[in-house]
Amino acid sequence: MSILLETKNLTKRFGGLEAVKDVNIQVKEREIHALIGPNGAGKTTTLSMINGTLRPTAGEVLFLGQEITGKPTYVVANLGIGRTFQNIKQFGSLTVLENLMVGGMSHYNKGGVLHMLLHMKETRHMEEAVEEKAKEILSRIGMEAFEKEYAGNLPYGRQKVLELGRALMGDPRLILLDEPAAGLNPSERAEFVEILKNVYESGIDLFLIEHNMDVVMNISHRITVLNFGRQIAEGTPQEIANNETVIKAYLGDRFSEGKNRRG
Amino acid sequence: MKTAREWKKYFPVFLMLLLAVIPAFVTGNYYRTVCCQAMLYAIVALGLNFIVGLSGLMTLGTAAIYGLGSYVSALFCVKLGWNPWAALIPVLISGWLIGKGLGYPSLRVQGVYLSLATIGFNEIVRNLLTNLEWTGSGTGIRNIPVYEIGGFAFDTQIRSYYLIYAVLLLFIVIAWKIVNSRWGRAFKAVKDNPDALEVCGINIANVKITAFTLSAIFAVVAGAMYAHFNRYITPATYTTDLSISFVVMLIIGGLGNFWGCIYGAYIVAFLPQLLRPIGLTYKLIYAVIIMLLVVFFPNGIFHDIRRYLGLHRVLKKGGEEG
Repeated sequence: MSILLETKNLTKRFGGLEAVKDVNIQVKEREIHALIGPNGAGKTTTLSMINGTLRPTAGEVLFLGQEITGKPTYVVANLGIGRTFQNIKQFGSLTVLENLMVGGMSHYNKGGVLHMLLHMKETRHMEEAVEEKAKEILSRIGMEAFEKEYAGNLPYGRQKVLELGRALMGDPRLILLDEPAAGLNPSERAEFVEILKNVYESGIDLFLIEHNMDVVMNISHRITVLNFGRQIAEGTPQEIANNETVIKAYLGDRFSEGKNRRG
Repeated sequence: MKTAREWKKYFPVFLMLLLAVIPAFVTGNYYRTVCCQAMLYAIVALGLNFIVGLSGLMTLGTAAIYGLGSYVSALFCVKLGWNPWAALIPVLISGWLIGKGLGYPSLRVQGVYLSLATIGFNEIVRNLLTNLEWTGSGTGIRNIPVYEIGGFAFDTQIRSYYLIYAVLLLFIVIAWKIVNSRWGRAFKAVKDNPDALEVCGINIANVKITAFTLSAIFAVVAGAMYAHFNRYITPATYTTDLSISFVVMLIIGGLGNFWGCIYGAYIVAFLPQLLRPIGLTYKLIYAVIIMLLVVFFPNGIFHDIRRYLGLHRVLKKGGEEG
């Protein structure tokens, strides 16, 4: 299996604080890779450095062998890395369908204003193509019923799904998901996991930050654990669940000792 | 019986027909001049809508851009003897350049700082126009030629009216196409959430600069039309007051509301003239009316009247409206 995304000694310092230090992650093709860790471990910072929202202090990010360190977010997105946010970021005054169409704009719907005004026919064709694609995505994420609704009026869970749909519109190779299941109730969570599996099966790899262990253990093939900005473990879900250091990081020393005694 | 939605489709046609027959009812030259002024304002407002209404950036330098259009066109015609139609080429180029130039600061400077920076721009331009000799200093430029087509000169109020009407129609079509295109969506997306637009693979710098460029092009063309319609321009016209008035037009019409730009422009052009007979206090009364409109009809007069009458779906646009 070849490596899709790789970080080499990725480091971010905010003044004297080392938010992320020497993180080396390899996301392999056809894998769902999860990044977990206690609050403030530097998970979102890592994600932001990968997609160019934050510039790393040191280290490299490679995508399909190509260096993308510090490239602007929109360039990274066009290379095939989609992203969703922890706190929902959608376009509230656009409809659900329009939100998706914006997601597909850079792929299906290029050209400046003048070009657009001079080539009405081409514009109409592109517009139809992107709308068709948006409708296809809508049915994939099970939101056809909300097509004409303004995104700002959707319930929280739906907005999260919509964000994933928007990321799908760019035909990405990899999607970075920042806590996709946060704030969802158990049934919404189960539904979301189904959608994620479906997305993965369609050939898109996932790299996600997640706190809900049922989600992480359920879908990921590989897990990297961060604590205080450092990488403390990596492995399969089983390995991580039994890892000393991870248990210590999450629950404190007492629990890991207790586990030792029992084992 | 047609439903309201079906009738709504014909609204643009009704509006344009109404504007076309206005001169039959408004016979005085004075009010016809105000009508022309209102249509020029409407062109500027349609352009400003891309920045303020859709992209949500507050710019207060529009009068300077409008003025640049007037001066470029007037100077090319008066000093170099160009035909007013030919002068539209340098006018468009200047609009394109100034739009790009103003767009860049908007990437670095945000919110109220952007408003202040653009007020600064407005004042710089006005001061330059007032003090430079070759722009005619404070007295401005006189004897600007009018537009002509094959010997037919647009030299009376009624002829100018239909010329400006045609240009307004053209710009309405262009603006409508843009607002309902991917660019219109991109402008709204910049206002809603720039970060999210960036992860969609779109360079938001490009979107903002495009909004500024479009707006500048609309404003310079209106400015050029104004110069050849009025035949006399002075720097005193292009004040920050006028810039604020342009934004007021958008607010009265409802920010981001396409047809609001047009009736907003008419209200701002006509209200002070209609109030003038009151005498000395008319400006005060004008200000109070504008304030009341903003307070009671924050989403545009027609939009809110429909909302008060229950004809409008509540929460139509995102969460911000209730």
